[in-house]
Amino acid sequence: MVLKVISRTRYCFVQCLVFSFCITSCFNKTESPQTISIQWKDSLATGFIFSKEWFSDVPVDSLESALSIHVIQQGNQPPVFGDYLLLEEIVVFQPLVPFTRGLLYDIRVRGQSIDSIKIPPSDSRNAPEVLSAFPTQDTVPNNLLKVYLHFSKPMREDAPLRHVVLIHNQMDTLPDVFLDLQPALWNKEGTLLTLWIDPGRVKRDPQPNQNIGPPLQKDEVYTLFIKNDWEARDGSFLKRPFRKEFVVGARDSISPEPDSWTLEKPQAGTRNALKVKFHESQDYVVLKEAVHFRSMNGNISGEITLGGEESMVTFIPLTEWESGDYFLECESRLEDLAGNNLNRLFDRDITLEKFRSEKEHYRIKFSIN
Amino acid sequence: MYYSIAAAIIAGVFLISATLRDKNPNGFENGTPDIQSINGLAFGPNGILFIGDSKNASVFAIDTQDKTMVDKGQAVDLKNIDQKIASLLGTEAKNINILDLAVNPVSKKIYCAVQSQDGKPVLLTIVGDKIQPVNLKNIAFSRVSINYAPADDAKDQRGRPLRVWAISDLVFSDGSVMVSGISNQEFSSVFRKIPFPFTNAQEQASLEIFHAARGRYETNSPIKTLTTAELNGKKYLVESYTCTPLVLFPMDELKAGKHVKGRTVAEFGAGNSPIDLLSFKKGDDSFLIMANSSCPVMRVKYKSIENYEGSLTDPIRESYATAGVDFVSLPVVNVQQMDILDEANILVLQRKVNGDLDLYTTPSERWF
Repeated sequence: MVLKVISRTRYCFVQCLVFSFCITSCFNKTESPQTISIQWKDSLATGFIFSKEWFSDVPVDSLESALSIHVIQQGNQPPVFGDYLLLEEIVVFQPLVPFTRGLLYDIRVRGQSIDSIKIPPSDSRNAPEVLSAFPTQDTVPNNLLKVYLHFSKPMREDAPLRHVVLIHNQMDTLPDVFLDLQPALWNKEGTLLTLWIDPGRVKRDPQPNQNIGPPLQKDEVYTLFIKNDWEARDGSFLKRPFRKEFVVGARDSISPEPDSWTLEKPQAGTRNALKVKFHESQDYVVLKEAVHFRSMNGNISGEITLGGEESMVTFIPLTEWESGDYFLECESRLEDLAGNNLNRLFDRDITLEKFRSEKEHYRIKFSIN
Repeated sequence: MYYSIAAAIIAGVFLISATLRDKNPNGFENGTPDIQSINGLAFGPNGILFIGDSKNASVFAIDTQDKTMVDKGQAVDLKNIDQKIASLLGTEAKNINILDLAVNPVSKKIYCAVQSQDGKPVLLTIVGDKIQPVNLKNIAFSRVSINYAPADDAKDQRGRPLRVWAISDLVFSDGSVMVSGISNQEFSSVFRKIPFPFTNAQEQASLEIFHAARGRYETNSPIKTLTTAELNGKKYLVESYTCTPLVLFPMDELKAGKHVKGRTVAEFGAGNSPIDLLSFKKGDDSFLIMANSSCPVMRVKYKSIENYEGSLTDPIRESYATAGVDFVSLPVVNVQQMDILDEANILVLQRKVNGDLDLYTTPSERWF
């Protein structure tokens, strides 16, 4: 635990940073208010702020032993771990992890309860939503390998498969479709989740495939259903369930072929978009990062966006196109929806099939006039 | 005179830098490490704790200052450990996850990585029935990134990179941290061997296994857990993958850029995932212990592995059948984490039949 005396500057900073939400106030007869408020940051209750009057008779070096916070639950609960900050006018208790919404906390000074504070439940108006699910197209190959879920807010990251189900023909909830990876594959912000459809079932030979069969059957209709019991990190639940229907098409057993891609080129002297059409949907995340545009002198600054249900990339340069030669450079790790990359098929028997190539990049030269 | 002053200054600078080096022999800096997640823990020498941080795609080394040698660890019997930790964190058990446990081999103190609902990681120590937070502010630490180098146009042509490197396990052995992980993009396992103290050098070998249950070679199964062992006088990396093949890789072959084929010595059956691996020495025998998602804890004698010269190559056609070295299933199920407390005791985190999550130590003789 840390006990610090911090300058008025820090105090002002904390006051600016924190918009205090006054929960309770008790006034003594000398007009010095005894207040306790909640410290908030990014919708998380990160501390309790006490006016110093609560501790006027507590020596500075005894504050940590005098003040304790206990979650109110059945039985006698231990003091919550946290840091104690003594500022000029206030005392701040910051727990190691933010207080939990909906829970009630007992505040004790020298072992005596002086107040209790309930952290208010999340505002349902700020509830998270599923913004999109990838692939976005309605027809997917029979050997679809990945699904990405994009949320509007950082979500709780543990056990995502509790909240995601695949429903067959709007009737049957299918078990064991997604691979239960630990840790789950979230982006750093906790807003993008990668789900693998069990490769042991997608591949044609493994025991899970032989025993249970592939997860998706050609010409059948499936619904990806996200339950609204999924909590965001701030304790709010999904605003509404999310569903996406798709039809399963044929198996995709062909690697993406750069020679078949087409480019729609802009004119020199403009900032018009260069469009690359792949003629089939690619993996959303890999496509976003594996395609690069370069001039003969090096990189070009600009913005890449995906379109056409991940079958097209658009590049708009920061400055006007100059006449000359350019390269589209694509990393060989670019994958289609079945996980086939530019060098190899995902489901291959390497005793029979060799890598098509060991290249790290594929380059397509083009000219702007 | 000016020359004398200059010489004195230069000598002073050398003296100061030498002193700093002495104070930070592991290349540590003092400060507060920006640890975003704790997905794996492993102890190195002298109380140095390695922390696998998936969010940062990094491994941190921190000096715990926990260096007092103890021969025997303190026994632990904490029922509903998740509830106890949750109360100390001011929340409920459903809002926390215990992600890893590691015992400091010097002090025999238990270190416990917890993640709260809001994603914040917490590091705790457990001694007997006392649970305490580990101070991670103003400490000596170093950090190494395990991510791919971002494309040099990453900032120009697209937003923030989306690649994540989820760390599945890490171990320290022979002066190096070995880390396995899974990318959120390509379906691939990634392995790094990182010498400590950290420098810019790290070796990324690609590992290939034969998955007998699958009847074909494959390179891209996710490594779930790993440990190290000495077999016939040679050091090996021992890994287990999803669907439970057990694979050996000679440590001296794990070099940068090298493609290493592992020797599959056992298949413990499809439909199961390994959770944790331990190597334990008892008398003249040493054992591999494996906790599983759908099977009991398994015990394998390293001598059996030493005597198993071959590699499994024939496909297993019988459902959920096993193959390779002999193993014993222990009457212990739903073990989520385990580590060696001391020479005579094992630390176990187990979900009991009644749903309780208990942390306890058990005499190793019960398992051997």
